[in-house]
Amino acid sequence: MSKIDDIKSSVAAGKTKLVTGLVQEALDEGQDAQDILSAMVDAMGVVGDKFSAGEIFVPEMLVAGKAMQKGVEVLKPILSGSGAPSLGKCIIGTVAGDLHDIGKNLVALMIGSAGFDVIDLGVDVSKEKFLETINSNPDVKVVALSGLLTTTMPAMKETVEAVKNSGLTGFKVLVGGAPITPEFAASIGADAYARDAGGAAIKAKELA
Amino acid sequence: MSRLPLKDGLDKTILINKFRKEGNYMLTEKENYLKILNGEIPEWIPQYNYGVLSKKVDSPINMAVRPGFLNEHRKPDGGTDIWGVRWVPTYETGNMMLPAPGEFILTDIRKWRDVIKAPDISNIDWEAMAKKDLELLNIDRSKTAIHFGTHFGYFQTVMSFMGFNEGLCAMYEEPEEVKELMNYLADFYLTIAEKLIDLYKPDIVSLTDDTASELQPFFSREMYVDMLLPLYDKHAKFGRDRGLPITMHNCGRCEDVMEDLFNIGVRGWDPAQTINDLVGIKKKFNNKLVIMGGWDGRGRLLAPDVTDEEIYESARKSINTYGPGGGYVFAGQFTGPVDDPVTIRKNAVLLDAVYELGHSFY
Repeated sequence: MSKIDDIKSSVAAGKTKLVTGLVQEALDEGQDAQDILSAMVDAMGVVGDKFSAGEIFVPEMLVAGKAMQKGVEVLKPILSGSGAPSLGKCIIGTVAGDLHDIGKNLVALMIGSAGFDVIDLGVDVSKEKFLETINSNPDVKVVALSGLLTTTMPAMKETVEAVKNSGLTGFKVLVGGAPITPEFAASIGADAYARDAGGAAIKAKELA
Repeated sequence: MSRLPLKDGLDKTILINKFRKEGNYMLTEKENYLKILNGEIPEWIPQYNYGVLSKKVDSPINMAVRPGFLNEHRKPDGGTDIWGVRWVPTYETGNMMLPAPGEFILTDIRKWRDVIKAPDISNIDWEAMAKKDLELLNIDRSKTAIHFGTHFGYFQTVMSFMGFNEGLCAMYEEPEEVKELMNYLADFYLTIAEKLIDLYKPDIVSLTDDTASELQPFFSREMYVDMLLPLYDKHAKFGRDRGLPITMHNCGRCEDVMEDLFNIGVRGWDPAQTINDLVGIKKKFNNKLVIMGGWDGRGRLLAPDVTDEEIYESARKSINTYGPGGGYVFAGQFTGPVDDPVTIRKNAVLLDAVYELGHSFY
């Protein structure tokens, strides 16, 4: 098995303690940093698929994300000077009135792992905050809204409407969360809906 | 609003009310509920509730008795619990409380012994506390069942300490540490249960833990059986030893562990959300595992302008699907700010519909 394959399987298995060393060894062997990153992104794609299929659960996904972050930390100094491609920025947050973060965090993790630069606004995010952040990041590609509560679905609707009517362009709006359906997403004018974190990463890549 | 027509064209709820007004005895809410939990066919399908009641119901079906000192943080503007977690109410959910975002008291599971300290309970006057806790309920015990649980679940408690991200990672990366922390919590809560259960003399022993999201459990069944089930079993034993029914509150898609819970004596599951295969569950357990839920309040029902008839039909669908053969308690309500007139209207219609349909069913 090649070093890159080792990295891939270690990320997928969430072996956080191994990944740093493996990535360094791969670099020392002369492997291209971008190839190593791509391998880790692929591994996270597999993790997302397994999560969507119910084969693994949240802890496995979280530790895989953690393992990837360890690898990225090693690559960062090299990639930052190489002009390595990013899929762009993604602004994410749980909508106003909703304090739940686990779904949003998983989506942020998977979208970040897919190659986006994630700006995580946290929970209970007002539409004004979303607009302000989009304004300060005109190169944003995806704005992702999360919501767990049925009671905050109106806040999601208001946020999407505010974003869509703001005159700001160049990005797409992705929504998801327990009570959200594709029909609801379409009805409030969102560009896309994702059922889970793995699906959100795939959808974000399509939108970017 | 239409009422459920009976074959003879009469409205049974009118007859029931007349029957009661004439001083005739029917089962109380409590008696009817316990009958269901004991696997018998009840007189009617009742509505399990979390505080909201149909005006047609004269007493709550059940109330939770809670050790006072464990719940002092449950104030309208929130507070800090015995472990140090600050809880905040959320207006949009009718003031349900969540740990304050980002204020986690435990960041490294390996250091839990330095952070998590159970309060000293050696000087508590348990009899006085139990008396006060029961008085606070202000209920007629012949009409309302009392269920007893000490806390909101070992999984949720650890998540309240660490947050979901770090907490779930810890369960995967440091399972032995998590188990030791949970066992430490269990020693504390089981001691309290031992002290209080025979003072409260509850009708039901209740377990609580929300271990699942809408899509799937947060973690594998293997982890559930290894870490949590043995602790639930210790609490369930209080019920088994006293011949009391045991219920479990577990939100989300958690049907995969129902057999495990059934095997430790659980006989009722709330809120039994429709994301689970409830028809399959009912078929598997018959009326031996009571479905307390079965109502899907999403879709059109979320709209502010949903009609009374649409709400009525949603209740009819639930009752017709899960009611036959017993083993069903309706549980569900619209969530929203306590002063929201739309939520208030919708709940009133729903609860009245359940009352009428439920009382006409058997």
